[in-house]
Amino acid sequence: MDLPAVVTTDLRLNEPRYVKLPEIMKAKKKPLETFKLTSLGVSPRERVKPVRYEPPVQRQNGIVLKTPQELVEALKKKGLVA
Amino acid sequence: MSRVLIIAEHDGKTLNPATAKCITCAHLIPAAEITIAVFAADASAIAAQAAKLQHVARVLKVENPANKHPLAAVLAPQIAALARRFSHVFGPSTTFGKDLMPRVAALLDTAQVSDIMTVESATRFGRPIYAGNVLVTVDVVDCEPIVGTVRTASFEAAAEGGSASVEVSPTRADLPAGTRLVAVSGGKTDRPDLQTARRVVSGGRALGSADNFKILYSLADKLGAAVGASRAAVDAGYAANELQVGQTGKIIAPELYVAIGISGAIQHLTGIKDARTIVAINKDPGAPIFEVADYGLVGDLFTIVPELERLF
Repeated sequence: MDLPAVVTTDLRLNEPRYVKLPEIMKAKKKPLETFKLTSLGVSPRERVKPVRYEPPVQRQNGIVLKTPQELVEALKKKGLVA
Repeated sequence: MSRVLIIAEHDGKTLNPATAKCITCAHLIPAAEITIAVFAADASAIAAQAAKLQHVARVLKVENPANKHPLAAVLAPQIAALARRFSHVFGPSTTFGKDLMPRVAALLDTAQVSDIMTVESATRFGRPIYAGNVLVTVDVVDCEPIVGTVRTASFEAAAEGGSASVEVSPTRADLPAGTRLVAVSGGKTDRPDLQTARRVVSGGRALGSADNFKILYSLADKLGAAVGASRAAVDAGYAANELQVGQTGKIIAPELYVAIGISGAIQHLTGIKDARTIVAINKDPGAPIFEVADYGLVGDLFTIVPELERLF
């Protein structure tokens, strides 16, 4: 690909480095620059508005069987396995 | 009237069932006229399959050698150019759609509605948030077109029985050359595809090793099932990345899901909650997987799995 590029990675790509305490302390001293949105030339609008929130439909509790035989029979009865 | 453009997912020969599920979703939009766009090097066979699906008004073939492999960077500007004539642009919320559709939305400077589960009107949709713990209904305002990804597990596939016209659409956008395909590698197996399989056998960390994981493969072969894995099993290296089921993996809705040695973290459950029947096999009777399972077996998977394989 040509650069510059935005890259996303797989979550198992690597083991992130552990940040040591002195580095955390140093980070606090780094300059922090604040931009105004207008200075970046963007004017965000709320284009996706939440209307309502609901809990999802819960699955019914099933049954605990005792033996693999019972399971195979139950699945056959439901036509899920031949 | 709404004019909905659906981007077909395919492997170059066969239309992926995810596309038929997008059609069912789009058809819920009042008075929707549905167009399917097939981007490929040779789109004829796929377009013919798409034209047979119900509720499809038109199929557009966009043929270009550059469209042989679905590279999001190459497809997105072509879709954006087509999209101006539509009120909605939908793709499946699969690896393909999740890669592609945000680019389309960005190019159109519009907002994307991800993982659409319900359709209430042309501008009101339901989608999951917080790993599926909450459903939010949203209004999309001031977006033309509306770009959306469809949570395929929430919709049945549109049936055959349609006879849409197939048209050739020229490629107008300048194709970016910045991203080039080097190679495609990965799991070509004879087993059913995890995303679309009717039965899935899935394993978790309790399997203990990649070698032990093989007992799932032989059970799956006996059942004609696809093999899946929890994130814990994939992280531990027992199973390949593409087998991961759950929030950061595949969201599936098989008729039968067998969870073996999976405790049932919410991120995993969100990937399987639309399965018709869930079977859980776990040695811990308090594992959360049993709360969602239709059938549970408490015990050692290393004795139960071979026993099941023998019985099926």
